Amino acid sequence: MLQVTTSLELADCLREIIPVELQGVELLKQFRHNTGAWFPQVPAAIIIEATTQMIAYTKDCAAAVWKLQVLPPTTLATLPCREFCL
Amino acid sequence: MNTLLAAQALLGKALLADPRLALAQAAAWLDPSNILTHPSDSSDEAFDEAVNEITWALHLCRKLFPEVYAGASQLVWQGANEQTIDNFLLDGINAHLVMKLDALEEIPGGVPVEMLGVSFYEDDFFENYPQLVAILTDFGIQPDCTETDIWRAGELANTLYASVERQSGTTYHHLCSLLSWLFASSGNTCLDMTTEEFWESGIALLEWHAENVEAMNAMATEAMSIFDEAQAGLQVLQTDSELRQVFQHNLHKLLNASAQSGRKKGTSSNDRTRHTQRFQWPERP
Repeated sequence: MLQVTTSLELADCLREIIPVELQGVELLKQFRHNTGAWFPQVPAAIIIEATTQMIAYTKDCAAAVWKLQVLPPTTLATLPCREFCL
Repeated sequence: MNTLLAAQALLGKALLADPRLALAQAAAWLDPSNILTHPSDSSDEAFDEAVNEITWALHLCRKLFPEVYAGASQLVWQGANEQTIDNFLLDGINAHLVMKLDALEEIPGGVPVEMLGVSFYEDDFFENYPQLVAILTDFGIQPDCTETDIWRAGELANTLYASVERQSGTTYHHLCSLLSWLFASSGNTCLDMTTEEFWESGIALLEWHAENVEAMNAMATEAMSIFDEAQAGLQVLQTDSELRQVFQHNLHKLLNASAQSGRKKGTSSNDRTRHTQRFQWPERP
């Protein structure tokens, strides 16, 4: 369970998340630099692996979006937020 | 390097320097069908009639057969023609199916199924299955037989099955499969129904989910296995004259018992089954 009490802590927490390393992006970086080809020609097994990872990543992102959409509102009584006070 | 190519290289490098643009390029390269034809207001399950069968196939493969999807996407990028992509997708999908698709346009119908059953009510049945005429005649089924005759033959087959099943060896196992196939009593839909019966029954084809494909493949494998055994059983009855004679003899005894039970009150099918316990069968491998 994520325990954060301030927006700064939340920002720190999000900042600590390690970026996802997508094989497709890595292949593009590696091969475009070396060969100049827009989309590289790589062995089928590597393409399948990268595609499968990309599809799974897309699904994970869609699932995360859906979860965020249905998050119940939480009252943050202790959160200082003076700029919006009435 | 000329200026145009240098500009392209510069842009290509710059596009990859930004994480979001790099992600967009990777998605366009590896998962193009998801961003090209994925309306936000429809589910993955729906097959839009407005799109062509290659799009259906790409979405299906994306969901269930990622390696086929990956290969097809690369063919699209390489500029392959529609027929090549169509063939690649069809072969790729069929490699995962026991009962195959004939064409991609069948995809929206559901997981394909093939019916292996026979129906004595079909027109030209005896012309279409001449190899079965002799065996069915033993059971009293002939071209001019009535519905009652067919029902009675089914009862006899079930009782005879109980006796054959008690014999050991592959030969008798094949005979059991033959009886199951002929009299639609295997419990496997693919084997117990004809194509016409299946469509008239209103049973819907299974939707494209991984577990449905697995279940359909299991059912199809079982059906084809029993069907092959039934053909082996048929061949045994056609070639092993001693076994054929015993088969006919036991069937006649059963017919007589059935006729007697019809005259005698209180004689049930259990009595007939008990009667079969005295049947003699020759030793077979």
